[in-house]
Amino acid sequence: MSDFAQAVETLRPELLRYARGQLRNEAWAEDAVSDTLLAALERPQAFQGGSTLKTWLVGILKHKLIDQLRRHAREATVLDRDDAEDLDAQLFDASGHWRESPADWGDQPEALLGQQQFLAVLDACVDKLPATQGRVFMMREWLELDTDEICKELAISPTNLWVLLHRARLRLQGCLQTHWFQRATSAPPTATRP
Amino acid sequence: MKTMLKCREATALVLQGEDRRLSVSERLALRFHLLICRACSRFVGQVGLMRSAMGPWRAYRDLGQDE
Repeated sequence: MSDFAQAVETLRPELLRYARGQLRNEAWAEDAVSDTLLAALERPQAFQGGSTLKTWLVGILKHKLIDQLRRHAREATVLDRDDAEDLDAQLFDASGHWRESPADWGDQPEALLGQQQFLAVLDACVDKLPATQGRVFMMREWLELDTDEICKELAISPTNLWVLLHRARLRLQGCLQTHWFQRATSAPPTATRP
Repeated sequence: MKTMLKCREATALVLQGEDRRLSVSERLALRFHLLICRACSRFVGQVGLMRSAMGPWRAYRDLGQDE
């Protein structure tokens, strides 16, 4: 095996993790990664070395993920119906008021966003999103597709997409509150952030 | 669009504003609500922070963290 082939193969587990995060389906993720590795091995000269090998492969992978989503559009978009009422009932009372007022997340985003630990918590929260919400969230925020494209790829209406993204963002907000901000405010005042 | 929103409706508009352009009447109704509601104003701050976090998060995810 050439050095190049070996270097590519070494990155397979990491690419698989990305593909799983996006597709939420083991078989599709395997296919997307295999397609990516094949494409890379067929045209090694396309890798210019201007970026890292990993960045180059992730670039190819993103296209293969969209191919997979396109291929499985119908299966991919089951609207998890039961989720909506639950989430709303948890957050709002019958008259539509917050059960618990949202917390103040502070006014220093720069300091926060420079922290690897915060980004790790956010990343874990994204991975925990329910399957369909996770898929559309990743299409929107990781693949950076616009909403028209996503609707087209998944064959869903804009309204359905907004509902899915709405729930995904609300879940992220709750997850960050629980796993980051709550810890911050409930810590003793003298404690420093990790 | 009615003028007096409930927090649940205001929250929905704030979130939809991330993915589509709100209509003038929606923006107006939301503006009114935010004037009188501190809870939803804080929620707007949280959504803004999550928006700012997306770029650093993509970089974090793409450039690779060893797990």
